[in-house]
Amino acid sequence: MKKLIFIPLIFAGIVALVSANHLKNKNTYGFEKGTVALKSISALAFGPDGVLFIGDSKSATVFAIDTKDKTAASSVSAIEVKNLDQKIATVLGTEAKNVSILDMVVNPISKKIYCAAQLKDGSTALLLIEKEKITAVPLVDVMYKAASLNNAPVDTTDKNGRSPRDNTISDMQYADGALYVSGLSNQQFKSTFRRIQFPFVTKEEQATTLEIFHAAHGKYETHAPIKTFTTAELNGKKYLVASYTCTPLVLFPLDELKDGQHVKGRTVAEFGAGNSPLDMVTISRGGKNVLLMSNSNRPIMRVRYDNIATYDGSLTEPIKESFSTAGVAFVNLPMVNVLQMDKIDDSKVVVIQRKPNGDLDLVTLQDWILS
Amino acid sequence: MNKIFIQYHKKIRQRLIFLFLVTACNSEKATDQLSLLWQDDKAVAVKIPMSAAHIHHPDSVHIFLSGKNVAVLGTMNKSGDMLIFTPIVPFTRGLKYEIREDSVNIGQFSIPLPDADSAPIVKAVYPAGDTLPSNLLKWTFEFSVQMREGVALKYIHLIRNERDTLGEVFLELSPELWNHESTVLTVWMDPGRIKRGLQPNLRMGPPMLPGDRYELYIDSAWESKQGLPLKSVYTKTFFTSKRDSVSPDVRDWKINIPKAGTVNELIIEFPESMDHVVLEKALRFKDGNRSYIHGKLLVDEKGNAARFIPELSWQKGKYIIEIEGGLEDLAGNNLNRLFDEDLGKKIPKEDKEFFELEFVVK
Repeated sequence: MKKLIFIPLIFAGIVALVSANHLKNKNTYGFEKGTVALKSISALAFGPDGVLFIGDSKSATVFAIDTKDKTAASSVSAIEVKNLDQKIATVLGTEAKNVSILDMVVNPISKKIYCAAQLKDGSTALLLIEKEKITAVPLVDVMYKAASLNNAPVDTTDKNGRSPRDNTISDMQYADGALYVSGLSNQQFKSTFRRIQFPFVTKEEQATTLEIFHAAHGKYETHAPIKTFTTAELNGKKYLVASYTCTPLVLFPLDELKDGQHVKGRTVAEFGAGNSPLDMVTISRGGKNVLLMSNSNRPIMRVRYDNIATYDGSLTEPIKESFSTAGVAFVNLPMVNVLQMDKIDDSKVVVIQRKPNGDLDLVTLQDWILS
Repeated sequence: MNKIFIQYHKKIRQRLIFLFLVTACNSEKATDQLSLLWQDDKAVAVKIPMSAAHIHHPDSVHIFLSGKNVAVLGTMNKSGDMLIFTPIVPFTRGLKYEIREDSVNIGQFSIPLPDADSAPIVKAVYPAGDTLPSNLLKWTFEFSVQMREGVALKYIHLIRNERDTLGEVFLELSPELWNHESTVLTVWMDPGRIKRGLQPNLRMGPPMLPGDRYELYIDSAWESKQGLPLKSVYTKTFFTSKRDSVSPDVRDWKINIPKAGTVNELIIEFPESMDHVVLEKALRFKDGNRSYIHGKLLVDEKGNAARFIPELSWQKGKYIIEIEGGLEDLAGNNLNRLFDEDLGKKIPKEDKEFFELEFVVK
């Protein structure tokens, strides 16, 4: 008889243990414990609560991982790391010539720097940079959730061997409960822009795919791939601020970006041909928002959002003189060859810069440059 | 087979040196030997026998790139007498590493250079034709092995009339457009130069002019991910015809219909070459009940014909070819619209996702 009493008790105990364990392995964002198997790293972005988004083009997936790095920094000083590529190469057991930096972001809470690097052999590493110390960001037994970008999976009735097309991710940004992802199809000249709700929900609901086109040079340049983007509020309305190769600056109202819609962008500036934008950040200076944009063949540009807000035109005429600029006023900052950029806070922007002597340094932009 | 020399130094105070010749892949049996673990031709871990290496404090053992003072990042696990170090990225071929316990060098190992026989080759380049429209939109390159990414435009060149190496004709993209396996790359001719009226087009003209002779040249210095350069330079000579400013029209396609009761191929001939890669995925076939039928689709090298071989024999009656609206010709003109279309200030018309062509098997 005693045995019979114990069996339900033992069973109840097991259920309680399993439930407790299950709860422990899930968090508020629906993350579960596991190993993040990255095939590539194309872009990084921070979300709320130390959540790091990793865009993986090769697996057409965005991973959201809990870095557990959410202790607010008490004070933040300027961060400088000389010869960053050599230091990364040493901890990766290789030479600097084998290393390229894929992306760099600052955790907005802890102010620590996260950096993705790639080796010549295609291997990627996600690194945490704290002053001179470089460590690996754990990807094994971490809390995470993945969102697939293949929102049109292979039709099961399709036996002709078709598979979802490859897509690349060019940039990502988290804003107001959603992750925005820009990309390009590998095979057709078609750009995509997705709004993925966060926390990630079921696959069917999670992605809104938009097709955007922007006005430039008197024609509508359809399907051009966005190189880099940010979000900003102008006159009380939220906008996607995007830039493309040959450097038009284009605004899209965020509330108009709806599934399947063709959304027409307003080109507010042409920052010059023969150039590609590389990175963008928005900082606040004296209560006013400022856009900083780094470029492949031009210095960092500073644009005041006030000027964008008051510019109600749309550039539709071709630029007459080669390499000249038009539209919203901007200032070229004395800072060239900036490959990566993110803000630590509104008075500090950290950049990865190729110096004239060939060194690759991590540098914090001085306050006087940003003003 | 990668044969490597691996050398142990016992702690300096012991002044003993062991020399081993090991075979990298199959050293599981050799419990007293240092060995490398390989995966996809990359050295992903090193196994260190603790007793043979006289390791007393496994927690104090770290791996360093030779001559460096900061340890390589990775995980060190203990399995019986073995310490297994897995770096967060594979070891680099051709480099030497040191094993240190409490900062004392107790051994070293080198990663062998790759076998020269595995040097990459260019397997195919599309479009394959020798006359191409001057407003050709893109190239597809197929390699025998995984190639180094992010450097393609350093090695791919276009030469006009055997004289001029053309600058800024390809679109620089980051990341580059590789397939998952890193063996197939898509490179766009700069669309800003192809589209008339855009600033790059006004400033530099189109990338190619009609009636010229061009050579596509791939420099043999381009390395595979393993670090081996291409076996040889790749060149492809072609001539340019006039600008293609007409969208493909499915009504112009010629269908060679097989007989009922056979599994003979259905041949679709196009009046112009279509994009090979897009074509491979753009066609599907349905029976009279609109159910998809199974089979194999083959695309001719030049993209001017596609052949469908059904799994089951053709039956008498109606069939439908379903064609994706995004199917493009070599100039990027798809079934819905031209690549270089002046849209004026209107919203473009809704694209049709699919077009259909019917045929009857007798």
